[in-house]
Amino acid sequence: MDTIFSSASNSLKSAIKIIRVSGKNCIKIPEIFSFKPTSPRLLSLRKILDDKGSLIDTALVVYIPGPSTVTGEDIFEFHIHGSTIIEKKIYSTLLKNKGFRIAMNGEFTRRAFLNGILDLTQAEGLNDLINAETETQFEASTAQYNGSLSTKIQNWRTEIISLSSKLEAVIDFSDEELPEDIEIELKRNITRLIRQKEDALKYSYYGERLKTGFVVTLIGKPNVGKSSLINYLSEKNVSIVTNEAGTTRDIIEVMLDFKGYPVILNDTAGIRPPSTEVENIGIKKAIDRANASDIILVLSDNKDFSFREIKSNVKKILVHTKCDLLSYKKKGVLEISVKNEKSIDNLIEKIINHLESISPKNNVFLTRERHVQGVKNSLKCLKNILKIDLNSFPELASEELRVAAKEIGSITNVIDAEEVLDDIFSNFCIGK
Amino acid sequence: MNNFDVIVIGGGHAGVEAAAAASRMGAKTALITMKINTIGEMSCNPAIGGLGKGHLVREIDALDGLMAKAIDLAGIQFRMLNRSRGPAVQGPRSQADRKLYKKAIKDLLKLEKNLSIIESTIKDLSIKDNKVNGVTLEDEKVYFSKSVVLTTGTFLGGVIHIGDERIPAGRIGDKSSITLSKRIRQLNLPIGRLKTGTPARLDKNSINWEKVEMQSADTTPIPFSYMNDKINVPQIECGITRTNLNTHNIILKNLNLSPVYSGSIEGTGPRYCPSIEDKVNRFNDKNSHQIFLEPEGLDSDLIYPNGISTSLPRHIQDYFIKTILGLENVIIKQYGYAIEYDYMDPRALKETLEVKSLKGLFFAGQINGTTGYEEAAAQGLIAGINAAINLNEDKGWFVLDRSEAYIGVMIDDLITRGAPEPYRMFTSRAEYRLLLRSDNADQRLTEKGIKVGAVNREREIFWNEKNKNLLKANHILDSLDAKPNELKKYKLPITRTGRKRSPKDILSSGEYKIIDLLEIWPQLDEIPKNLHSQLETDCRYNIYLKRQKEDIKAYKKENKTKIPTNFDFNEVKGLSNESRDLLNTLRPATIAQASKLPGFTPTATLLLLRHLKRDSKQKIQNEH
Ligand SMILES: Cc1cc2nc3c(=O)[nH]c(=O)nc-3n(C[C@H](O)[C@H](O)[C@H](O)COP(=O)(O)OP(=O)(O)OC[C@H]3O[C@@H](n4cnc5c(N)ncnc54)[C@H](O)[C@@H]3O)c2cc1C
Repeated sequence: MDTIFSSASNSLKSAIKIIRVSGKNCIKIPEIFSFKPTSPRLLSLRKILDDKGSLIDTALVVYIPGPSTVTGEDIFEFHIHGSTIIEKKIYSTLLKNKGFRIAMNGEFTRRAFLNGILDLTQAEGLNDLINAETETQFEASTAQYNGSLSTKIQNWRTEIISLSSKLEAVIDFSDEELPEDIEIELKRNITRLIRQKEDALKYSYYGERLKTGFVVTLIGKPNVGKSSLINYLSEKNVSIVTNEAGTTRDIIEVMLDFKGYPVILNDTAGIRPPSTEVENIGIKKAIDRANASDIILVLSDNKDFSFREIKSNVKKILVHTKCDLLSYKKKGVLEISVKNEKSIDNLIEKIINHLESISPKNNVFLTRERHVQGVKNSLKCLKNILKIDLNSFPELASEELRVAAKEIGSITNVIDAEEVLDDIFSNFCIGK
Repeated sequence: MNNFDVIVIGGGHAGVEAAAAASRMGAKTALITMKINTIGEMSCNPAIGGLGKGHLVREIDALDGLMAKAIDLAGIQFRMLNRSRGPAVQGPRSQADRKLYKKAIKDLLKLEKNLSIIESTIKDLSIKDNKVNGVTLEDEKVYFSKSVVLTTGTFLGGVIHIGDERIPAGRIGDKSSITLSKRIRQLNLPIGRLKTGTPARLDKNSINWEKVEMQSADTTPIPFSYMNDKINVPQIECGITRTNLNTHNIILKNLNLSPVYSGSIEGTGPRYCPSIEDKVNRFNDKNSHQIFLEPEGLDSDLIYPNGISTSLPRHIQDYFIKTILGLENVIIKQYGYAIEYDYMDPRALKETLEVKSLKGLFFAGQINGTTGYEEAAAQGLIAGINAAINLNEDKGWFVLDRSEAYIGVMIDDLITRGAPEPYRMFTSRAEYRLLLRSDNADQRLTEKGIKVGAVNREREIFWNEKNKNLLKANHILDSLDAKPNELKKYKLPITRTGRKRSPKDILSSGEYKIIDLLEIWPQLDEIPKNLHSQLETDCRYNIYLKRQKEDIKAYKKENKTKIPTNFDFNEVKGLSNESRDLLNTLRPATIAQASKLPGFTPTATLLLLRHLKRDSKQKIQNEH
């Protein structure tokens, strides 16, 4: 396998940059850059020279032999000064040597997984960790990395084994004396499990949002001050993470960091009775976008906040702009002024409060499409069971449960017949 | 005279099926057993079938084995278990008349032209260059053969325990096989100890039948064999009584006298067949346990009290049994006992049941760590067929996989997981249970049996006829459909989308039978009546079967990904030490087997798969 390398911090400017190398060729690095080999695991200062002998940088370097490393392979790290030129020189020098290449996206994590350092859910968590851009994202991914997602799924797994064992006991030991209320209990437990999974799924979108950003859409008549609010937020109060041009000519997207929450602000076309076909399309788009967001900021410079086209179940914050000009003091309406920088902090706080209020309590939620799919599929099977007459067709219910178990098992660990039998024999007095 | 193609050692349930199968395959076969008189003996409960077990019997029948035909001639209380539930989990079961059963087996064996039955005890196996070539009898005579099937049941190193008495025996009244047992241990095979037990036998006339509840047979007994359409044996009733707190107190007070609790038995017993000591001790919140009083035969005076297997001392057995309702004055004809015996860890076997390290030597039955007549018989059948194929390997081995038969599930479980406790079949072990039904074993297996040569002419003709009718019936069912307004006219359900519906669509809900559809589709009258229930069942499960077929495809693919026999598992990077140890000791032959090892994670499976893929890619590259 090739030895791979890549910058371990992101490509923006920073004081220090780390270049990480992983693979068996790490041992050759001192020779390549003409410095004295360092003792393993000891951060040491070295003069880094290129192949012609000219200085690239004076930097701290460390060599960590495998297999107890993040990837399970030998690791070498350069802690260079934060300059793209230094970085490029190191890259090109390494590339002149056989067996080195730039790592592909996620390849360090993949090697860690391949080398058994991480299990699959952990590997996915780490990948998110690497890609985490804000603090809250980071917390979610560390929770998964430390195995709390695994714990939750393990609990479901145990629950499914116990459900199966009751059902299988009904089938395989029908001529034995089983507790009479076993079927009722079974349905009760299935209903509980369904509720738990539905909860988890409800929050799974939250995990998704943590990665891609919560959507906050501004809506209002033309010239109520949408653009000035957005400009103000992106320039003054919060740091810009990304600033993509709008995907349509009518909607501008800005990605902001609100105290750790990634937020995409959408500026929409002003809504008013359309005069042209083009405008009509723009307005329809604005409404669709608003209906798909997490929060709608309804902006108005007068008393009228009625937008009948907007669905009622999306969280709305009513904002009275330009309160420096005219103040109404209407209940439930936040008055702000971009010009006087008035109450903008209150607005941000309101947004954050809402995002906090919809977050799952214990920080464990499904952040991966694969997990969401697994849980969804198993949920579907569990729901099917409720439609089956357990007395007449326990085998159909059991088939649904088998698939539910397989789906959950594909996230962590396969559930097999032996575990189900173990559960039967420890809970029921079976056998003649 | 002393030369055979196949020699089968042991005339238990595994042995007779092995011998009959080898003979059907055309091999010159000898069945050598201690006593001709005990051929087909039921050592324990005189009953055949049950859930999972009944499925095995139907599969044995589909491959033209003996068990189903014999029980149909000897069954005295037929009951379809789970009769009120779906066909996939119905299991035929019947009490047997011990004598009738033995006679039926002997009569069936007499029909085998290629079979000789010899009474003798085998002392030794003759092995040369890791290849078996015959056996030595007790009189030192040597018989030669290319294949040997060992089916000695509980006889190797068998020791009976009653209280603190210890009696070397294969089962009560039979000596254990000591010389052969020693010899097997020398062969460097993984031998372990297991135990099982049996209750006392009671004198029928000493029971107060007035006091016990009675349970009768099904009104229309359904035969086990596909070739039979009715049962001629008279059907009898069984009694049901219960233990009480008095019984439990006596047992608990004397628990230390039971060899299991005193520590003189080390072998593991089956959890699903616990002794009454175990039941009372482990589930002490239960005040009472059910006991079935099962007659051992039509004219037998013995009653088998199903539910109170024990190895307590004789006087304690006398004492506690008499506390039971109806048994106050009972006379015990034979005391209950536990038996400890040698078994071979079946992970030493190939899927053909041939010992991996010794060519031509096959193991089948309880010696492989299973319990039960049906489990033994099913293995005997597979071992017998493969022992015959061993004469001419070009034929290709006869192997059933998990998606084809309960037999396949059992053998796969045995050879990949071993038998940490005596192994018994349950329907829950079969992941494709909806497909592997007791009603369709012939559709799954008979054709395969015909191809390999394990099925006699008579059944072949019978099956071909049935198959032809099934095909025709399916063709009729598939060729018909009706528009919504027609369906409405006949008060049949329509779909919301207003699609046309076929008879199979209508039958899939399970609410209609074929005869309910004759008005709208008179052509269905051409389908023979005796196929109706079969076809209805097929339709009922159809939607589930489609989903299972996808799973089966994936399983077959994994099953095809072979791990080379000399593969070095230490090469696979990133495996935990547990997984590595598991692989090194068990040496799975396919990815499917590896992924089923207990405690083996999906990650480990992935690592192994990737390594294999990388390996094979490199090999291809190197060859170029
Ligand atoms: C006490 C007892 C309790 C049991 N309890 C249960 C139970 O509760 N539930 C259940 O499902 N099953 C039970 N069984 C198991 C069931 O009886 C067996 O699983 C089944 O009979 C095994 O069949 P087999 O063909 O493997 O061996 P067996 O039926 O034991 O047959 C072995 C045959 O090999 C012959 N033999 C042995 N050694 C030699 C030799 N050296 N040379 C020639 N012939 C030899 C014997 O004579 C015998 O015919 C019990 C068995 C016993 C003994």
